Order: sequence, then C-alpha cells, then structure tokens
Amino acid sequence: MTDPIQFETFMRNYQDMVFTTAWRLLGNSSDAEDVAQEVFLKAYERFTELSVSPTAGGWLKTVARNMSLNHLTRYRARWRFFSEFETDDAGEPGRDFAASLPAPDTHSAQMEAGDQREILEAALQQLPPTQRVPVVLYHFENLSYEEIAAQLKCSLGKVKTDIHRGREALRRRLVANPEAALS
Amino acid sequence: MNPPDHRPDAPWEAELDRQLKRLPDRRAPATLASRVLAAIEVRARLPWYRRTWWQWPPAIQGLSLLVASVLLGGLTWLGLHTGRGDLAAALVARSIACLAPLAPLWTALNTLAQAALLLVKQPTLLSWTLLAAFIGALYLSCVGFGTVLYRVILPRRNS
Repeated sequence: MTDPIQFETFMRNYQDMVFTTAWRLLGNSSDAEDVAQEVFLKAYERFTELSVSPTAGGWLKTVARNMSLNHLTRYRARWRFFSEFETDDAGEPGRDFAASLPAPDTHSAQMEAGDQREILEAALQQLPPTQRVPVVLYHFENLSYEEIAAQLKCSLGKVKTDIHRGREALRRRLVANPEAALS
Repeated sequence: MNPPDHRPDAPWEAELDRQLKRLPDRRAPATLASRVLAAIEVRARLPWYRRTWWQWPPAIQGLSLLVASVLLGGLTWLGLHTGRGDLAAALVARSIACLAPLAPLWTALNTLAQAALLLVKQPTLLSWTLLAAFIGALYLSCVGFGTVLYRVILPRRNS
C-alpha cells in the first residue's frame, strides 16, 4: 500500500522537472499541468517500484515527454479533423506539424525577462511549435535526429531543417537582446 | 539530396546548446500537488470493479483468473466434444431453451444473415453498390454525430 505522505514528498521532489519537461514541449502552462498530473497518477500506480528505484527521475522524464508528445498528436489530429484549418499557409515551409497548435504561453515569461536565462527561455517559447518541439527534444531531452524523426513521425530532413531554423531564430532573438547575446 | 547535418559545430551553436542545458527548471504551479492528491483520493474511493484489473484486490484477481480459466477450459472441452454424443446435444438443447425469450431477435438476425449470404452468393453490381452506400451512410452518420457532439459539447466545457 502506498504511503500518501511518502508519495507527496516524492512528487514535490520531481514536480518542477516533470512540469518543465511538459511545459517546454507544450508551450502552455495549463496543458503542462494536466500532463504533469497524469504523469504523477501513473507514477502513483507504480510507486512501490519507483520509490526505491535510482532511475525514478529518468522514468518520470520519459513519461512526461511521451505524454506531452501524445497530447500534441491528439490535439493536432482533432484540430485538423474538426476545425477551420488554415489552408493559406501552404507556402510557408515547415508549417505542417504542430503549426496549428495553441500559441505559446509567453506572457509570464516576457514579464519576467530580466536576466539572460529568462530571455533565452522566453525566446524558446516564442518559437513556433514546429521548431520548438524538435529543438527541445534535441537540446533538453538529448534525443538524436533519428529518434526525434521517429517520435514526431516526420522525415529526418525535416527534423534537421526545423532544428536549424529554430536555432537560427533563437540566435536572431538573442542578438536583439545584447544581455543574452551568444558569443 | 540529404540535408546538411546541423549538429552544433559552430561555436555559437555549441554555446547555445550549453546555455539551453543550463536553463533551470520552471517552478510547478502550487496547485499541481493538491490536484494530484485529490485525483488519487477520488480514485481510491472508486469501488474495486471500477478500477483497472491490476488494482483489484489480490483475492478477487485470483478468483477472476480462476473463473476465466474454468470458462476457457469449459469452452475448449465443449468445442472438442460438440457434435459427438448426446451430452453435447443435450447441452445445446438446454441452452436454446434458456435463450427462448431471445427468439425474435434471433429470427431477425438470422434473416439479416441470410440476406447477406444471398448478397455474397449472387453478387450483382447493384447489391454491392447498395452495400457500399449503406456502409458509407453509417460512416458519415458517425462522423456527423461526432462533429455535432464536438461542436456542441466542447465549447460548453471550455467556457
């Protein structure tokens, strides 16, 4: 039987990491909180094993990543099927994946963009999802291009191009902020 | 043509990689822990039969396995012995007697099955077209029903 107090301590130790993983991928605090909740409910079912596992953090991160990607995929499928999908963006390269996903929740980040890290985080959140998701998977989740292509079910070339464009966009935005400019 | 490999070879790309990796975790909302604990409490209050099989009490898990094994064994035994001997015939007769109240439903299903069999045995372009139209209509009605539900229910949930 799982001890609720022990589980709460476990959850408080990892909640920032789980929430951040979801938030960076989803670009939205509300969705990230929903995903984080599902991750911890799943963890609760396996808490007997997780409480003694040295790789519990890795397990939580992987589950958070997979659930966030599932969330993106579900949202994309529903959006395409039922809503007034924009059709006049065919000329814009790389806009086929999650371009129709909700706009990043950048307001709070912009408000606090005082130091270098905040500026970088805000710049990351301002990327379109089609670039932000592969950039996050590459730089934060340490996935290879091939793994990202498999996760996002798109071509290797598109992944490389999107990551490259994402990095360029970050650089452009950071150059505009001398405090955070890259050397 | 293969696209160029965009590994962070350039100094600025390597620096960007370093800076991104140094970004601290964002603080989770204060409501997260309480939401999770509340959801766990709701789940804990659910009766065992509304939870997943893995969360059933061990005794009931064992009993359910036993019942499933007996059912499977019985069905296998029946399958092996059907058509031979009086026992199978008696069992079939008794089952039919038990199912007597469902006779009208059985008749309707039987008629439908015979009609379908007739279609398969004597395929004509018209019959196949009608069948395809019927399946298409079913599919479209499902899509239409789903769309209406999505448009009517979801905005209310979000508002």
